[in-house]
Formats: sequence, C-alpha cells, structure tokens
Amino acid sequence: MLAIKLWNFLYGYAIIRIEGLSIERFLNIVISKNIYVWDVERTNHTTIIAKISLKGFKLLLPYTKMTNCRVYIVEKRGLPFIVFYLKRRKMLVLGAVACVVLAYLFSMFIWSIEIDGGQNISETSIISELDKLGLKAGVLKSSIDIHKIQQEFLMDEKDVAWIGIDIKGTKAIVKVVKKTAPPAVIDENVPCNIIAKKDGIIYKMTVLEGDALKKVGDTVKTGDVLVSGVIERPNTNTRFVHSTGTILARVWYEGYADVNLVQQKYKRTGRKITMTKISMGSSTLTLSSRKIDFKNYDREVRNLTSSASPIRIVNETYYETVPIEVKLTKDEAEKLAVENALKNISPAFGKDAKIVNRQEKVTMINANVLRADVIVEVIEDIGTQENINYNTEVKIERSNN
Amino acid sequence: MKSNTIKEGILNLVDFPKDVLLNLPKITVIGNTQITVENHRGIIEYIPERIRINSTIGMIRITGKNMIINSVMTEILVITGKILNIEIIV
Repeated sequence: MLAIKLWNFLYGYAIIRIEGLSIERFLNIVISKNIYVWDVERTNHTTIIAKISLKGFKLLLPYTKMTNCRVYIVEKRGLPFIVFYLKRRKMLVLGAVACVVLAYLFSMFIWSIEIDGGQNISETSIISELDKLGLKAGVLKSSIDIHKIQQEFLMDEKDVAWIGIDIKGTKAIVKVVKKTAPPAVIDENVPCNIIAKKDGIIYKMTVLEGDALKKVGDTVKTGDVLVSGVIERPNTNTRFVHSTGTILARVWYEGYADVNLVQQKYKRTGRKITMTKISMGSSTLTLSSRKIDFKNYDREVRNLTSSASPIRIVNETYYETVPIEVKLTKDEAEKLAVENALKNISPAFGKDAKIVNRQEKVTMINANVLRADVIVEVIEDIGTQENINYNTEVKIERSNN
Repeated sequence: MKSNTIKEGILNLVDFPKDVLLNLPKITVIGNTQITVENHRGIIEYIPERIRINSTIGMIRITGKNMIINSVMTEILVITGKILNIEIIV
C-alpha cells in the first residue's frame, strides 16, 4: 500500500469532483480504459470525489462528454506540482540548498574548545598548549589527529596524567587529569625529627628510633619536637637518625550545634502526577498529561527497564506536599543537637582516632533554639616527621670535631 | 455451457483454481471492513450504503455503511467501510 502511495506521489495525482447523473457508467468506462482511479467516495446523489493519476486525468475529457458528467479539480498533489511550484520560486530553492551546504561546511570545523578538568589547572595554559599542537578554533576537523595530540600534550605537560579529547559536533571537549603529587614522605635514610601536629597530652609513646624528648603525661603544643633524630651521647660522636614511632596523645575538640524546636516538615496532600520518561543516551522524551504545578513536591522514581538496556524507561511520580510545623520535644531536640555537634567536630580528627570521653552541655539560647556544646576527648597519633634543621645541628657537629 | 461442465470435471480432477479458468469472480472479505472483488464486470450502482457490481455469475450486491471504493481497476475492485450484507442476485 505504501509503495502505491509513494508511486502516486512521485507521479502526481489530482483529487477530482465528478458531477453527473450517470456516474457509475462513467466509472465503468474509465475502468475499462485502464485509467486508475482510487478512493472513490460519494458525497451526495450527483457527485463523487475521487483521486486520479495525472496521466489518467488527461485522458478523461472524451468520456465526460460521452456520459454528460462534469469533472472539476479540487486539489493537485504530488511531486510534479511541487516541482512546478518551486520552478517559479528559484531563489527559495537556492536558499534552501545554500543553507544545507553552509550548515555542512561549518560543521566541518571546530569552533570552540571546552576544558573540563580539576580546579587547580589553568585553562589558558592548556589552551595555548593545544593551540601549539594544532587544536584551536577554526581548524578543520579532519585535519586533527586526536591520538597524536594527546600523546604530544602528555609529553609536553609533565604535570598532566591523562588527557582526553572528545569532538562533539563543532566543539572539542578536553578533559585533563592532573597528576596528584605523592605525599612528601621523608626517605628512610634521611634523618628526621618527629614533631607534634596538634596540642595535647601524651598518652602513650612508642619510639622505634630516635631520642624521645617528651614523656608520657607531658603537655605538648603544635610544633614541639617529640622525638629527636639527633642523638648525642657523651664520649661519642653525634649521630643523626631517621626517627620513627607513634605518639598517641589525648586531644580535645570542641563544637556546638543549634537545633530549632519548631521544624518544618513536608506532608503529602494526596495529589500526584505520574509521568513516564523514555531516555536514550542523553536525550529524554517525557510523556505526561499535564505540567507539574505543585509548589512543593516529593519525587519517586521507578526504573522499568533493566540497567543494562540502552533505552531507559522511568516512571516518575510527583506527590504534592504542604509544609507543616512540627514541634520537637526537648529530649528529641537534645539528641539531635548533640548528634549534629558531633558531626561538626568529626572532620577535625582523623579516622583512626578513638573517642574516649565526651561531655555535653545543652542550653536554651532563646525560646525556640537549643544549643548543644560538646567537648570530645580523643586519643590519636599526633606525630609527624619533619626534616632536621641542619643550620643549628651542623654547627654543633663541627664544634664537636 | 456443456464445455463448461467438462472443464469443471477436468478441474476437479487436477485441483486447479477455478476462478482462473472458469472466469468466475473471486470475492475476498476481510472481517467486515474490506471486500475485494476480482474479475468483475463493472459497477452498476454506488452509494455509500449500497454497491452493486456486475459479474459473470450475476449481480453482487453489498450493503453497508460509509462504503468507499478504495481502488478500481479493470480486474480488481476494493471496497472499504462497514459491510453488513453480501448477496449474489442471479
């Protein structure tokens, strides 16, 4: 059926209205002369609307006279008529062709470069480096060898670990990953001290090498030398060692959190809108009967397809919500405040720190706000290695010699 | 007519499609929505409620609603619409 329609479209056809009293006779004659007529529809007693091929229409005239019918053209359709129309509008065709050609031509170049990388990367230096390697705005896409540029870029920029160039349309997206410098670990052969990185009271010292300058129970300040790498003994030369050891100390952290007794929560009203989203790659098609006109809403997403399939069908339900005020009891608020306060402190101490003691103080700072002050005592390793300052030490050694 | 009966006998023997050699109309009905009449002899009457078609075995009368002649060619005639009744009037 489609093939016939296409054929008719290519060769052109006309919708005609036939008026007369002996239309059946007219049709029979037309059929017998091998003229193809289709979609014959009777509109009233004396008229018929039908479609006829362009070629057939030209042969129709003698038979209309024979049967006393009249034929009118209602509409002309098909490619020949479009061509005929466009012949009179040459500039329109020219413009359309020029549009396509220009769009194609301009899509052959790269017009913008987008740098996607870490925060501590200067985009201008990357752009100038890429410029040197031949990737810049206005360059033919086919002239770019991405693989080669990536390799040369990595050779030139030593502090870049990886570069990915992705050309999407006329835009080159450059992803840069900077090398993260390994932490400055002092080499095992280099002498060093252990110093305190936090204030605290020493709880336990395990010194594997070096001279302990502090003992358990001592209060230390940030920067104090705990274990010295300079070993001086009477009657022997001063030795320099690479101090190692763990120094556990009690450290105190302080923090607070405020909690409002009146909390705003959202309650569902019962009205909801369900919509289906079909997404493939980055493009999404949303099938929805109406727009979401809720002021506040909850969203529930249900995935209907397996995670492996390339097309994702997602069912989303939006529930309308209204804000309501919930008054917390004092106990609940206290618990919440302490929890939040602890949460505020915890980034300050390391993961391997052990909380040994906790003090909480809860006060009402006004009618509705409750504040929890928390002091936490933890035991953690406060030692960190540091190079020995030779300026002073070397002098000692020389004087000894 | 006698030759026709002889033909028919032979055709029954060899199981050959009758419509080809006996010059009979072949009427194909799809549900109640489409009728194809092959080997017809012209349209006698066409109004949306009734179509009468001439054929070698007599007149085929089709009644229905909103019927449209989908295509007419020398051999084949296709009618669509809601078909209620098919009669062969000799």
